[in-house]
Amino acid sequence: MLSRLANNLFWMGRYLERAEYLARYAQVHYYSALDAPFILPKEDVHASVLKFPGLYDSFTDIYEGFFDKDVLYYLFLDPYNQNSVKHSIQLTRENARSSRDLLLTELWEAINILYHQINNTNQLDIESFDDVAKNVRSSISIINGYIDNTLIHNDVWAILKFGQHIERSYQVARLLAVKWEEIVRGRERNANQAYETYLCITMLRSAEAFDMSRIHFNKIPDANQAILFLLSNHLLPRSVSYNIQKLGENIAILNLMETPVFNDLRFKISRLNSQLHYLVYEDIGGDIRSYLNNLMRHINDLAYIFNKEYLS
Amino acid sequence: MVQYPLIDGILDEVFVRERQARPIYQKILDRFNIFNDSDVRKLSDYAKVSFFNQGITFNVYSEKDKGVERIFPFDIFPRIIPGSEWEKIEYGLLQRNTAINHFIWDLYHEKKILREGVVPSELVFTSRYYDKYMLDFDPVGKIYTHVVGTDLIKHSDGEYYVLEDNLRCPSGVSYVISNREAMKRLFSDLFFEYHIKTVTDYTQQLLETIHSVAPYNISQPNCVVLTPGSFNSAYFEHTFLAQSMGIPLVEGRDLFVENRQVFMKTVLGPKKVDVIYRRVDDEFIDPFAYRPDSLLGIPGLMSAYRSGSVTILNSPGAGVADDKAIYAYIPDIIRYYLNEEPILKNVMTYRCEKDDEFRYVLDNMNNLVIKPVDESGGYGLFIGNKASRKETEECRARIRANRRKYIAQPIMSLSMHSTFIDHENCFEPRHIDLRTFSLMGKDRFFALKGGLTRVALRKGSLVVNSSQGGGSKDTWVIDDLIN
Repeated sequence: MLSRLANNLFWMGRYLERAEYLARYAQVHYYSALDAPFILPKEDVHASVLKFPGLYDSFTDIYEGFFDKDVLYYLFLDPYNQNSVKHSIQLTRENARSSRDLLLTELWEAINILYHQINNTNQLDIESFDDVAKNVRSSISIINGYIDNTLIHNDVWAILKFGQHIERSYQVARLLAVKWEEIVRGRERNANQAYETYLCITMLRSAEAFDMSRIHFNKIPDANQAILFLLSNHLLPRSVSYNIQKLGENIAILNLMETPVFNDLRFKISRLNSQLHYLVYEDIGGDIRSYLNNLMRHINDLAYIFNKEYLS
Repeated sequence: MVQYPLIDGILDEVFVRERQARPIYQKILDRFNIFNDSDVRKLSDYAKVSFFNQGITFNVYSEKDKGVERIFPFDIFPRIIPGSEWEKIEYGLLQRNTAINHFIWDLYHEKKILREGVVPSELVFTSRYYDKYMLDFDPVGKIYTHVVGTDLIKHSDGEYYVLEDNLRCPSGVSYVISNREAMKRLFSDLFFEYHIKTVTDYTQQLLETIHSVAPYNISQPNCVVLTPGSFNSAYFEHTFLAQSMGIPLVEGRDLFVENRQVFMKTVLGPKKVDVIYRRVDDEFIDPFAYRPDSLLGIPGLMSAYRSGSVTILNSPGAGVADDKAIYAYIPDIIRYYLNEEPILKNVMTYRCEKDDEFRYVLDNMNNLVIKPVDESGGYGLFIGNKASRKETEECRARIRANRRKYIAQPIMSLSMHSTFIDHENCFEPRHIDLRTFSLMGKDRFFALKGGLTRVALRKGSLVVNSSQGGGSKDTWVIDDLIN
């Protein structure tokens, strides 16, 4: 496969995942805050929604105050926001368009329909927000269905999936980092247990892992359990561990006959995969913030090496 | 169809007189008569949404419509060509394209036809597309024009005339296939009523044509489609063809030349390329050989081509034969190489470089269509009876300044066809032409049954090009005996 097309597929996977993650995160946070076990200042809710994708500073540069309508518009549609849901979908479609000859017709059409829907949406109010977010999420689920169930699992699929798994690993690690900050701040303010449980549920819901965590733990997990669950449960498709493990499988498809060499991409993926697979809480050493920052650096490093080895 | 206006002196392909359709169209009209205007509009809108969702669109880059995507207008009333008429067209295309290939080979080798004065030498050597890199070079199978788009019109005398030959990168075939898919969804029952020849075999035929001209001794050639990129207006077609044939779609930056061989940059390292179906114009394909500022081409491609390690479709330099001044000589070219009378007629053409014809053109501009010899897409067209006095004078000055650049033809009365007009919400007659697609490979020929019927959507207009406000229709070649 052409390196240029591999690059398109990799970024198509990343932007697709990014759009879905942001739509889900905004939806979960906005509605969770409405029936929180205590009254949350609106500014805190909006700050949390904006901080996850790293948009807090750019938002406050443009807008005065935190009005629901402005925050949701900025996250989803604002042309000045290069990380909006709309922009991610535009880039997903642009990358798919450039590699269209490699994709299934139905897959391309599903992406194209979503693109036109979001592209023709220029206003977002509180009433329409839920419909728009739901539509983005369900359309991306359909697109993911086509990717996994109809494409041949060859190099095209492997590169597209590599982009998705890298993005998902990174987003989960980032989600954990943002939420951990909020938990720590709550503890510093001596907030009650209900507050921590609320943050924990929001965190799990944002990763679409809340229901599975209840089944896994037979209860609502506490913050430490939830973090470990999202980091190291290698059977949970939303965990970092699961996605790093998948990166290894994707690379194996690209290098069918080759075995890992010291410090090459497969070596680094295998190493990180093993560390996550056997992770215990003590390994984090009480400093979750440093651990998560380090993990995000490792994930970015994998993306960088992949880019260097296969896409250029 | 209640108030369908027929126009005197112009052939209407659907109606012979008011309310009386040609028998071949009766089943379609019976079907349409079930609908009211609102139903027809719904069907038309359904087709539009379908094209839009499939991404069969082009981008508009004007300041006002920045980045807007539009579909090529599609009309739901199909055009029918009886099998017996089509048979003649197909023989005509084979004859014409065979002669054209003999002609191009001769131009780049012995030049017999020039020495014998059948075609004036100066016409060939001053053509923008005459290519010195092709001198004494033999492409595989001596084929230069692998993919040809021949534009035909049906005149009021009922005969088909060739309007022009497109021998470089003719486009539009993807719309033929997409139009057919849309019609199958809209009127599946009509497909049982008529026995319509398929168009879906085109891409398989194209792939076999591409394989047939692979460099000698290569049994499983690595073939690619070369596109200028996603901003090209025909990008949809490029992706469609590559996807349908299952071969890679590449851009110039994906390829490089080493030791006179072409390679593509893949995730697993360089891979040799054997055949390039290029959709990039001659002047851009190799900055070493042609325009040095081209960013779309592959430096050194022509040296690889001349070494025989790679085949390019269509061959560079093939455009010399679709220069509109050469067009006038195609009947003579057919007689010269094949010793046969042309099956398809040419439109009478006046060449402004000849003194007597130049004078005739200047004296009769109001009755002529004047065309630049090296433009396509309807650009630079002057239609005498539609032009203002000022436009006529400007055109006159352009011709005087460069007589070689212009030819003139009588204004042909292109046939008309019933067409659904959105803003009128009814069917009205509009002028149409037909772009046919034929493939020539080593020892093989194929003509797509039907082709792209292009419609001039503006009332009274003769310009059918999509870039100038034209639309298209599905074209049905049917078996006369069965139907």
